[in-house]
Amino acid sequence: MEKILSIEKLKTYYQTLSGTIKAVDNVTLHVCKGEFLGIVGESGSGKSTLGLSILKLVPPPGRIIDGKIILNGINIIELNEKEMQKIRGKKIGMIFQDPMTSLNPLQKVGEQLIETLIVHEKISKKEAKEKAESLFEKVGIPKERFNDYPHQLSGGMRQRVMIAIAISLNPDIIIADEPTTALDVIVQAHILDLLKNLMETYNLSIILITHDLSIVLERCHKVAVMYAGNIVEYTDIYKIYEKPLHPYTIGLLQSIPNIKLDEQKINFIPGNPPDLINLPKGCRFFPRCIKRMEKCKEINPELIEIDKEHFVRCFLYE
Amino acid sequence: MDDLIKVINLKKYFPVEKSFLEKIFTRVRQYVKAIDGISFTIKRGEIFSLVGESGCGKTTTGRTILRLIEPTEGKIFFENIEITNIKIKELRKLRKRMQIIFQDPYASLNPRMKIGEAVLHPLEIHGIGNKNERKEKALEMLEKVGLSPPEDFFNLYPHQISGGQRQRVAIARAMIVHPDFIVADEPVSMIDVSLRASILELMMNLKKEFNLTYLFITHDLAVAKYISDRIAVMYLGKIVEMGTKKDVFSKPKHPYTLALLSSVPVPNPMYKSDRIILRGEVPSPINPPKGCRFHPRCPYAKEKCSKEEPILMKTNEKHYVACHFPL
Repeated sequence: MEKILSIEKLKTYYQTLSGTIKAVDNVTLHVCKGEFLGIVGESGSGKSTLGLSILKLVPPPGRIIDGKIILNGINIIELNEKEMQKIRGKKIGMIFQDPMTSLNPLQKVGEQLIETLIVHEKISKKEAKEKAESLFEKVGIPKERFNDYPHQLSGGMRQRVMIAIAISLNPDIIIADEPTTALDVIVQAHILDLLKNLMETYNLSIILITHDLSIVLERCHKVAVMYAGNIVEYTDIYKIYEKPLHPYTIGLLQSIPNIKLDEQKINFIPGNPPDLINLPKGCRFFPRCIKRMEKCKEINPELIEIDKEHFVRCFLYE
Repeated sequence: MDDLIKVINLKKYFPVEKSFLEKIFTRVRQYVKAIDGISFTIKRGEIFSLVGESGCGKTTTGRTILRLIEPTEGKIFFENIEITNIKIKELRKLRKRMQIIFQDPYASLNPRMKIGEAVLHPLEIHGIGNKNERKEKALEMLEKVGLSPPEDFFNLYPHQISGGQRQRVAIARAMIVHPDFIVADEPVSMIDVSLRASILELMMNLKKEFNLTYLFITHDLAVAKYISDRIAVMYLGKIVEMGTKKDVFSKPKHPYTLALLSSVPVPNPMYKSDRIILRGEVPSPINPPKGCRFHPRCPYAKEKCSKEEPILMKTNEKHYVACHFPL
């Protein structure tokens, strides 16, 4: 499959007074056309910083230190802010967790979409309005909602507005950072169905950033599991479900309850995620790992391909 | 088993705030009917879960039972004592026996209070023990909730510990007065997935050791299935279905329960979803639909549903449903 986006050895660090936070450290992955990639991690794993890095929107004191982000053959790390503005929205759309903070509360939702279209596509107001109306229809917003303000809409409807704006400029990729975390489970299912339909209709690629492994296993094609700034396992969802390799992935899979099972024992991973300023010297999962070895204490393993398209960062499989 | 908590026809209406002009021009007072006539019992030693989407009234129910919110109508019994109208002085005595754990351990702990002091604070309020005894008890409780060595944790502030540990502190604070009944309002929703099971396990262990009864409030049906004995599903201020875990999850009778269950993501890529798509959105609790509150969205709605409101009826010994045409 054609690779749309490749990330190579990306490092995004936050320089703070108390030390350097290595939020994204040596991350390598790629997204193909029409692919649905899930990036799973817990709070502080660096998954959101990774999403912001791809858009070059990391807030200071965060900075991309090293690595490459190649979009359609161009390394966007080398682009300046003005050039990036042509990438954001047009090549990469974005959806965030809380649409209330991403939408302008004082502007009607329909107008916000029209404005986006006029600014980027240089079309007349009339054309923009027609296009906006058809976009609203595509994402399932009733016509009469066009002149509503964001606060008049439900959380699910607001997220649909965000999705309409995100796809309005026909991007190749959409980055969705916890798009359904604030929503109820029924609305969540609707929004995820919508994303999947759009993906299939427009041959879009989607990067879904989430803490919820269930959603990824249910909806995505591939998954990258992040822990303390590193990708620890990266493969397709069938492999990760049937044969998870990294002890963290195994622990995570055992810690999610499955509503379809009657008798189930869920486990937890002892300990806490590490402080990103004082990372363990060796493997970052070492303090919590049940299969740790002497070697893991000293050296952080590399992400290696141990089976076709199955990458893992663990010495157990060397 | 005897009933520890009994709730009869409980209602809580919140008045809708109006602007100055609206107050002049309209006489009609509007109310958000957060809970609109619910009845249930919780047996001693049971984990009873309230599930539903945001705005269904589950949190209000939990708080009203403890009278942190005053009910509009209905009766609440704690061990056969009616507590609906008892005076605050007497209520305070009973509060020792009923405690609450909140969702957000960042918000429920005072950031300027040391962990140890937060845990022994309820003892001070209820005038239990002297200073040394209180400290002793707090240390003991910190150890019990897995914060060990307790001496180290005693002098830390909430910001110095992790979210999971903070929720353990909140649990220790609730447990220190040895309550019989705990309302746990989304206790694991803000905890990282890899640690959730450890908090649930702690709650189960404490339940065994202290013979606790829980009202477990959650939006996460998979967690509810994992932890509960019995479950009530709420929609727009009403209980639409109630029964044992097995009855509700494997033989749901209410179309809403079925739709809700079918929307929960299943962590298995091979699983073929049989999702039921509901039309529309949850209506406003100010003007809930006439008849069955779910009828505008119900795929099986008939004429009767828009006219008559169904009442919660027994379908078998322990399974109740509020539907004219149960599945």
